[in-house]
Amino acid sequence: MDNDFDIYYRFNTGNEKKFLKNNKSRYHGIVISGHICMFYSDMVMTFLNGIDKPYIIDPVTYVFGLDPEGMRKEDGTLKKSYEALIDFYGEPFEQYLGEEALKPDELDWQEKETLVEKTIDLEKNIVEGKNPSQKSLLDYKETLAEEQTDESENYLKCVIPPYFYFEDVTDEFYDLSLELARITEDKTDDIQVTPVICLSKHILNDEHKINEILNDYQNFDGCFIWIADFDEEKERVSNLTKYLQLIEDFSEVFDTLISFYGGEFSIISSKKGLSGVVSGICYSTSKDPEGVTSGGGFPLRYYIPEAHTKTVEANARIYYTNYERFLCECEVCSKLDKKAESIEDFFEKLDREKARNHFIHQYLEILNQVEQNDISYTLSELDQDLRFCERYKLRENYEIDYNHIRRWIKAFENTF
Amino acid sequence: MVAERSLVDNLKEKFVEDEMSVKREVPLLSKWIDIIGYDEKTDIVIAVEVKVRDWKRAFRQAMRYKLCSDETYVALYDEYIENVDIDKFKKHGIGVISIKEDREIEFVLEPAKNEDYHQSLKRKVIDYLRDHGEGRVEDG
Repeated sequence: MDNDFDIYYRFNTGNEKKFLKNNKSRYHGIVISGHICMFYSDMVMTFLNGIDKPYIIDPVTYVFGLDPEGMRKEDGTLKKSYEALIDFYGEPFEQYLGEEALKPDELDWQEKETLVEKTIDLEKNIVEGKNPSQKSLLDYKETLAEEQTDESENYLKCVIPPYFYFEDVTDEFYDLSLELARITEDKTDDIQVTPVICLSKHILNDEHKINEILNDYQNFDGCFIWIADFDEEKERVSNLTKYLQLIEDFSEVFDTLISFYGGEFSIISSKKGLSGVVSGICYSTSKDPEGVTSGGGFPLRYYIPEAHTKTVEANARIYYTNYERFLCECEVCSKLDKKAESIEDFFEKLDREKARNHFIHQYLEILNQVEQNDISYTLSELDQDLRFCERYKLRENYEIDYNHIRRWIKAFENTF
Repeated sequence: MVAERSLVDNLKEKFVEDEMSVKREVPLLSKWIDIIGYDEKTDIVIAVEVKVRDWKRAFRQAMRYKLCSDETYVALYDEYIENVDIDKFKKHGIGVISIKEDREIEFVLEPAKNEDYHQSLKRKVIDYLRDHGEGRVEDG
């Protein structure tokens, strides 16, 4: 792929494995969370070795700083994947998910070093199968090595230092994250270290604090930006504008600037200097690090191109039943449409995999459109879609929200 | 303020009086239909969204119910019925029912017969009624 902007997808469940393999020309890389790596280590290792794509391991160390109660399931037990993570980190970190939250000032120098070393180990060695908990997997590696070629594209894109969510730059978790990032940089010389800056939304309102963060992290080549609970489709114009300003400021300092939880607005923000986005496939484009972990599956969602959003199947069905002529003509949907006798049949044939397929096809199309045109063209296209949605009352009649399009346009206009 | 649940109860009684199979909270894709009535003699499925006052939200929900029903209604508490934009309902073929506190039910607008429902979803609703509904639904 020759895009300047990279789209990474979060790998969350085993059933995304085949999908990601079958569609690897439609995205740039994969992000996998550390607890998923540890709990499904065999599966993750085999998957990463076989997929031939760059990958990033999110060490999710911020969970050590959260109230352990919030990490538990309804029955009071810890999710098994988090148990696997704390087993890997061992003492003294295992108490922080089981009993009480880590306090930023309680780690001594040695413990900080250990946290960094463990995190580097987790990220660098998952594919090699060399983690202490994975020695038995070395056999796999030998088998897989036969399938690998010299042109193999599966490589760890960067190391993410241990990181924590901070409310403010005066928050001790801010200092701890920065210190851990610097220790990681000292201990890593063969691969780029890219910290995750996981900050509260309200910091966006304070230019001085943004500048302080920028100054503190300026020696790194790049960073991931994670603004807590920042939902591109729900944020007010003022927040979206400040986010764009942050991107402009940060991109002047960093070679690589990637939105850690984002979606289409982030893709368009490539015009402001963002160089990549990490997104869920057809689900989360935002995350609150302090939010309670939810279980269960997601309902099937279909991406409505003209509304620039995903909607539940029922809304998409009734909308396209009324306006069959507006059904998406992308490669994925056209194939499906040819096989379907009616809109009903189209949706009966639309399974989760096809909905995902349509979604990532659309994201790549958007990226190509954005890269090939200047921002004013993209904004005028958005404006046309907005008028279309208003004309056909997508929100009023079909519960398909599109008001974020108006806010996106306004936010970009505010930064000119 | 009258409770939504009591409005649903009133409608349920009406369906039972009309010898229909009836069930409240019937799944439709990822959402739930407030109340469904099924007349097995005519094979007509009636879906109703019940709200005390928020007719706009009720309308959006009812639009979805057209995926599985021959007739779709929004039922509202009588006190708020005058707020409704009847033309909007007329345009989309959705009927309007007014329910008074004394349980009196008035059909304010008859729905259009919906021919665009999805057969597979209508079948699922009937099957759900067969398994969970009150009243009888014959097999086949």
